[in-house]
Parts: sequence; C-alpha cells; structure tokens
Amino acid sequence: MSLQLKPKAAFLVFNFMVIFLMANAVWWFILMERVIDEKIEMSQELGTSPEVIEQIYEQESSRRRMVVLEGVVFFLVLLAGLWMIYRTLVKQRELRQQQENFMMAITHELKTPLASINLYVDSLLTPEIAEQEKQNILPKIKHDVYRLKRQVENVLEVARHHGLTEKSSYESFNLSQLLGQRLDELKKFYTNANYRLRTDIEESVRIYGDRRSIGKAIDLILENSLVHNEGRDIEIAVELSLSNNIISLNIGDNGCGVDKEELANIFDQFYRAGPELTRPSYGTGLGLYIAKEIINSHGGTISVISDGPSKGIKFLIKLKRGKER
Amino acid sequence: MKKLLLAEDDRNLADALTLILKSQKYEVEHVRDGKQALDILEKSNFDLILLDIMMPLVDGISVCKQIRSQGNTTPVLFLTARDQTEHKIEGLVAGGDDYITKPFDTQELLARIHGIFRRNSWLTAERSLSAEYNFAGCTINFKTFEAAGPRGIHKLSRKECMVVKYLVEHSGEVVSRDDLLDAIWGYHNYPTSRTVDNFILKLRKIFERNPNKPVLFETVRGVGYRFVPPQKN
Repeated sequence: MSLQLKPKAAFLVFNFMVIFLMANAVWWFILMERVIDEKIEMSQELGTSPEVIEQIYEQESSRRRMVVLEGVVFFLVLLAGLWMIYRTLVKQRELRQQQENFMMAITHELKTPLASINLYVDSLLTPEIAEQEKQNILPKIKHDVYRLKRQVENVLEVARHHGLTEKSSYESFNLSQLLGQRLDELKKFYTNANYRLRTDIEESVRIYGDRRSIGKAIDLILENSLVHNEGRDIEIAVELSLSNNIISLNIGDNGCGVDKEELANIFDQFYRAGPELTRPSYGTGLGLYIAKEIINSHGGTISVISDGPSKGIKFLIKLKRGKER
Repeated sequence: MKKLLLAEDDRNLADALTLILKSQKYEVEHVRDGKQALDILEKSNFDLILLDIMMPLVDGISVCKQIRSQGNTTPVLFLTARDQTEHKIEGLVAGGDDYITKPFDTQELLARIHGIFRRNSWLTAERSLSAEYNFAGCTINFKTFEAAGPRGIHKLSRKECMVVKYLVEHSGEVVSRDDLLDAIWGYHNYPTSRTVDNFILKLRKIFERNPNKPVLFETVRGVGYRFVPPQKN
C-alpha cells in the first residue's frame, strides 16, 4: 500500500518541514553559544585563573568550529535530500495535471461525435424533417462513426503512452522499412485522396524504440496533411536520413499550410489550426499532440515550419538512434 | 420565431443541432468559436444562447461571464462533455441558466430549451406581480433585473430575480430548498441545496437592512426559507 498525499497537502508538509529544520538549526546554534558562555561564567565564578579561562575558551572555540562544520555538512546532505523530495513532488503534480488533461481529452473527443450521431439518428426519426435532408444524413453518420473509431484508437494510444495500459516495448528495428510500410498503408486507407508522394528514404536506418508508437506518430503526421487538405491536389514529401547518429525524418506537404501565429500552438492538446472554411470537421485536436508525446518520449524532438496559409507545412523530426540494450 | 445562437466548434454536431432546431421552428445562427460568439452578441439579440464549453479562442464559461458583465441577460444553455457536479456549478455560477451533457437526446435538449423559455416567461409575466415590485423601501424589476436596496442599486442575475419572485409569490409560506430548486433550476439539474443558500445570502446583502438579522428573507430551520411581507403602514 502506498501513502497517497494530495499535492497541496504534500507541499504544505514539505514547506513546514523545511521551516522547522531551519529554525531548529538556528536554535541549536544559539544553544551551543549559551553553553560556552555558561561554562566560562561558571569558571570565572569558581575563581579560575584567566590563563585557564583563556584555554577553556580556545578549546570551546575549536569544538564550536568542528560542530559548525559538521552541521554544515549535515545540512548540505539534508538540503540535497529535500531538493530531491521537492522535485518528486513537482513531478507528481505535473503528472496529476497531465492525467486530468487526458481525462478531459477522452471525454471531449469521444462524446462529441457520439452526441452528433445521436442527434442525426433522432433526426432520421423526426417526421418534420424532409426526406431530401434525411438523404444527406447517412453519410454524415458514417463520417462520425469513422471519427469515433479514430478517436478510440488515439485515446488508447495516449493511454498507452501515459503508462495507463501495457508498457511500451522497446526494440531495435529498421525505421526505413517501417516508414515504407506506413506509406503503403496510407494508400490503402485514403484511396480517394488526391496526393502524390515524393520520397527520399535512406535505406536500413535502424532505431531503438517502440515500433508501434513510432509507426503511430508517422501515421498521425501523414494523416494531418491529408485531413487538412481534403479535396485538394497535394504533394507529400517524405525524407529520412542518418548522420552523426541523429536520424532526421521530415514530412511535409505543399497544401493549405498554417498561419505563422498558429504554429506555436499546433502541438497543443485540442488545438485545431487552419483556415476556418477549409478546416475539416473531424480534426481530432489530439493527433499532433500524441505524435509529439511519442517523439519526446523517445528522446527526440519535433518542430514545424510553414510559410503561411496555402504555402504548405513541414514537420522536422530528430531522433537519436538509441542504444541497443 | 425564437432566435437561437449556437456556439459549437464541432461542425458535424453543429449541423445536427441546427437541423433539429430548425425542424422545431427555431431560427438558428451558428458560430464556431468563443470569439465569434462574443462578436455576434455585441451586434445582435437572441432569445437563447447554446454555448459549448470547450471551444477555440475563448471557452464557453468565459463567454458567459463576459456577456453577463456587459449586462447581457440572454439565457444561456451550456452544452458540454464534462458532467461532474463542480463543472455544472462552475457553469451556473458564471451566469448560465442550464446545463446539458453530451451526448444528449433530442427530446432532452428540447425539454431543456422549453424549460428555460417557460421559466423565463413566468419571470416576466405580470399575472401575480407587476414588473416592478416594491417592498420595505426596496424595489425589484423582474424585466430589467434591477434592484434597489438599503445599500444602493444592484443588477441581479436572472436566477436571483427568479428566487425573489418565487419567494414573493409564496409570501408568508415556507418554501423548501427543493421547491426552489425545482422551480428555478428544473428538477433534473440540482446544483445542490448549498447553491440555494448562497443565493439567499446574496439577496439578503442586497435587500436586508442588517443581512445578519434578516427580517424579509427568513430562514426556517431545517426546512427552507420564507419571505415575510413587510407590514404596510
């Protein structure tokens, strides 16, 4: 059984402990000074000769130096310990916040398409709505169901990533091959999308990491391009190269692009960028966030550049090759 | 024809809602984020605002707070995915009139909308009380939501006006907290009886000469509250 303290309470106890220890240190020092003074006073009262008193004073002073030195070492060790506890507490608070955000993400991302399906089904059953309009509803329901399916997958991926389900399994694998597979899969799923693929993939680039997660991150970035350029004719460029043990994976398109001001927020949870009119209805607001989490958890970085609306977008991923353990 | 403003960022859900509401003979205007909602509310008047809480740019709660602070009293129905009690209270404290959790049924949604309109027309109706009511040197206007008490003029919220009107309509009778919740918040949406107590405390601060020793809005221990009509001289 583990003792679970609420972060607020934990910080309160922690602060109290720090203040208490500091106050104690001051008190001990005052106490020590007093003992020395008393000893000298007592000796004077007993009529001890000044030379002996001087000697006693010297002795006590050197003892005091020793005690102070030991005290300083003790406090340094103590402070190091406290610092570590403090960091753990901060980390715990962050994790808690992340968990709350995650719960909010699940709730929002799953309930919204469900609400929409629910209302559409009700509309089909409403006699006041014209037959012609009802005809348009079924594809919308289908669309929502697809969305829901994708959301469930994404949410499970976030859950997996936050260690809420099975632990991610690291292995050494061929990233070039995985990238090729993901591009083939994309063709199967987006049969209607108008996109050309331009690839420059260095062969046999190996990485140590979680194969499934990295595959998911690649999918999410590729899908981001397709989803935001629905109905457009675009070119997707994929480059993979290895130099100095750093793997560079760039995925870009020449599509709708993103306003420069919006770039900073693009990896945030729930954030959906893009011009209002062309924004697809099923932007998840989770995709790029998940991709970033995956890359970061592999010790890598992901950044994004875009020259503005309708000037395309490019994601730059840097990953360490990683040790094989 | 009642005119509704729908602020919802999800296009499919917004389309579905618009379809349903139009089939019920409501006029619907749709905006996709909090900023657009604030912009349109500055220019046009609506009979009801359907406000999603999680929206880009400005969230629904902030939109509601902001329009209330500008004196806009249009009823607000929050649409949201969150269903914890504290979130409901957050919405109501921000000045919302009701709260519906996704995914909701059409019937439930329509019932909530009707409920808001029904309570609203009860508040502004002049059947039992005229629009302006005077008591013990105080005034309350059930249409403009303005109130004058011993410490000056205050702008009340719709719910606060409703609490006063309900208690005044039942002058001298003991009204339980549950009765108030039923009549003002609707049976489905109990924000806990503590909320009622907070409303009464606020009303006492406005109308009572000494809010610590209330003579108009009395507490009936263990039951609820009673409005004691002042003796006319």
